[in-house]
Amino acid sequence: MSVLVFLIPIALFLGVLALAAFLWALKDGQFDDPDGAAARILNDDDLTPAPKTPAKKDS
Amino acid sequence: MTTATALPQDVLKTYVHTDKEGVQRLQFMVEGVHCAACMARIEAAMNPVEGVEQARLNLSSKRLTLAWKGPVAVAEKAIAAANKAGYGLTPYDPATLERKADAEERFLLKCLAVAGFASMNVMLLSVSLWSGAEGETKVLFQWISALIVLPALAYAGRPYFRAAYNGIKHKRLGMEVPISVALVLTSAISLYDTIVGYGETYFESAIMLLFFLLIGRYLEARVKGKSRNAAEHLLGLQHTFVAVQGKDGNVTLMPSAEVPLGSLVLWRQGERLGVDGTLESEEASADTSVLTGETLPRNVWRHEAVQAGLVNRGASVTVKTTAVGQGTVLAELARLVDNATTVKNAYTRLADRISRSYAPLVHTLALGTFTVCMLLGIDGHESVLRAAAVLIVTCPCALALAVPTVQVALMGRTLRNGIILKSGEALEKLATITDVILDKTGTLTLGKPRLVVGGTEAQRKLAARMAIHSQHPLSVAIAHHGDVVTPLEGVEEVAGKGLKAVYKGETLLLGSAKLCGVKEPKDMPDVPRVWFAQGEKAPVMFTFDDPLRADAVAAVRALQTMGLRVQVLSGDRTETVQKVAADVGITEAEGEATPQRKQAVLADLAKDQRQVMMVGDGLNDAPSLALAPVGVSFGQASDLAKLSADAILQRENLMALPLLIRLAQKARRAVWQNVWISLAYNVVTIPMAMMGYITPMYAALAMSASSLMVVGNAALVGRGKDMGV
Repeated sequence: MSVLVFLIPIALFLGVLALAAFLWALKDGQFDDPDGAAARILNDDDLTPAPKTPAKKDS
Repeated sequence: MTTATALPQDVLKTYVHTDKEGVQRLQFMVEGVHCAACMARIEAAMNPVEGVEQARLNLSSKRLTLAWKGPVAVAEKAIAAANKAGYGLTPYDPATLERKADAEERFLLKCLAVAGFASMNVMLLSVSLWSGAEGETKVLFQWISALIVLPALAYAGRPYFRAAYNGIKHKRLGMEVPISVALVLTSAISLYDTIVGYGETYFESAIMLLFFLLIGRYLEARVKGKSRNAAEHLLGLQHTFVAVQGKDGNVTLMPSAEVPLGSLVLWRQGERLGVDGTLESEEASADTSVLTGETLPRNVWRHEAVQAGLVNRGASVTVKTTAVGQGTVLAELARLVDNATTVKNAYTRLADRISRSYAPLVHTLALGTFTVCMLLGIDGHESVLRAAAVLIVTCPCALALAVPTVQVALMGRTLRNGIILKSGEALEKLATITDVILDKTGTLTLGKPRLVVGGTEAQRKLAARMAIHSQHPLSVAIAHHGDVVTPLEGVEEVAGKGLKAVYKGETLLLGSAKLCGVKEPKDMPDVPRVWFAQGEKAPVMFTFDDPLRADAVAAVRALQTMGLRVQVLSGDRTETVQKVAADVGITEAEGEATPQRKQAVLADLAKDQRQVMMVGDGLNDAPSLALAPVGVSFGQASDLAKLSADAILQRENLMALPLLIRLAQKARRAVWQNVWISLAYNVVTIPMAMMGYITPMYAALAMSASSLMVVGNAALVGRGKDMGV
């Protein structure tokens, strides 16, 4: 059962990582506009390249 | 429809915030945003403007943040671009608006995340404990559980601990008290057991309980948050800067509330007036949509009263201040609405009513368990544990989810039918409606003009060919009166007066009496009208009426078949009101009702224990919409009416009313089913807990099962198609 000594800290670490990621996202304002975020992924306008970088061709 | 609100630069500047990197930011409230397409359109319009760093619309709160570098002119261009796309922007100062509720929602989400993390990890350990881990492994796992759960409880339990503390301080026994007691008691006993190495621990039960409870609470906070935006919108309109003209002719900017009475205020084109006053200039064109919902600009003459909130659609004019700040009509109306809302808040929500009778019962049961166990000679430790078990299993995990989950699911469903519900309370009250009071104009009728008489067929056709060039509602009515017409060429707009064209050598004029050179008699009935002049012939008058909504008769009949008492209450002339009422099959109708009279009618009905649904769209309906148990308004109504209403019909159809009530009744049934599901679970588990048969595993299983059933039942309500709307 000595494997537990590694497994439990790993499990906890991963959990804390997920929690930290969520709290960071919350603080970053990613949860400020749930309705808008849901709709934004359907918006293709942001696919147009920025003015100075030429569009890459599909490979 | 364009809502140009080109604000003067100096006013705009007062709202600008500049950060360290020189990026300037402006916050706007946006009018006319409905969906994701609007979001894409408005951002696509503003972002390409040179100098704009980013324009980003928050679809949830209908607010827009504009960031740019350089002069204010950049912002002006961006605003103009948004206006051109059809959206009105009103700048506001974020500091003036209450952000407390937002912070609360965020805090709950953080707690939810922590509780979720802790419960998942502890469950992992608990499974091995339940399946019979023994010896050192058991002790190790119990200690790890304690180390995860205790800090997590201390952090994520705060919403409950705080509420419980406040409740006890004010001698109120809410549901938070037993929850807090159970959380503290179980974790304390479990910690003690872990230290002395005795028996089972209950860490996972405590944290799971908190996790489920927080889900319900967060959902509730989200629902409430949606209705706040409207109130903030009105608040934002009151805080503005106005240009005051000094005696020496110099113009100074000052906050609207500090303008001295009697001073002259410059009301510039596109500006929203910040004070009440009388017009000093000859003539002005005012957009009164915030007060009346009327999108068509109204002409105001010298010495006529103008109110804060109106937007100047014509040239710049001067206004003599008569009232500022809290004295304005807008503030007065906001107060009326506010007072009515307080009255309405006296309503006790179903969830609170259940928990109010439930909490004392839980405490008595737990205390009883402890006493009886001690009397039976069971040792103290076991007795406390059993009492705690009773507290845990009775804790209304499923009960806490019962109401909010149904409400959230059903609000999603009404939204698909074009009905915005502003609060869960409205949904509860809608299910018990006994009376429906309808306004006439804009409710039973379309509130849009329709051409009735005037001129000859040829004249009407000619007028229609001119009118097709204009967006004015009366023009639209003329243009759509007959067959499809071909637009006349060379039509010019005479600003604020009408249209002008030359056809076969004759001058055609369509517009106000003044434009056509007609002197209207003073006692002329105040009906919507337009004059049409063709060459030297005598001008003819077109008049308009307000037709019934297509589904008015069907909707009224549907409401009546549901056993509801339907009546009409309107500020319009009694004759007209009674005629319209008879047309749709309503016998009870009252006309010439002032806002005060409407409130009195509502108060009388409330005395008779009748639950009223009030439907209206005008400014004069706003106080009664707020006072009525349920107020319903339309998407095109005045801002104040929309603010006061509990439900807004976006699709402008009256058949939504019976549907709304039916759905609300459905929701009530689902809520009660959920309540019974969670109570049934308690009826089974409480005696078992009292006798000490509940092991942590069974408690957790049963708890999750009942919560899942409740959530599943709620999801069922949210599904399904509603035909006919």
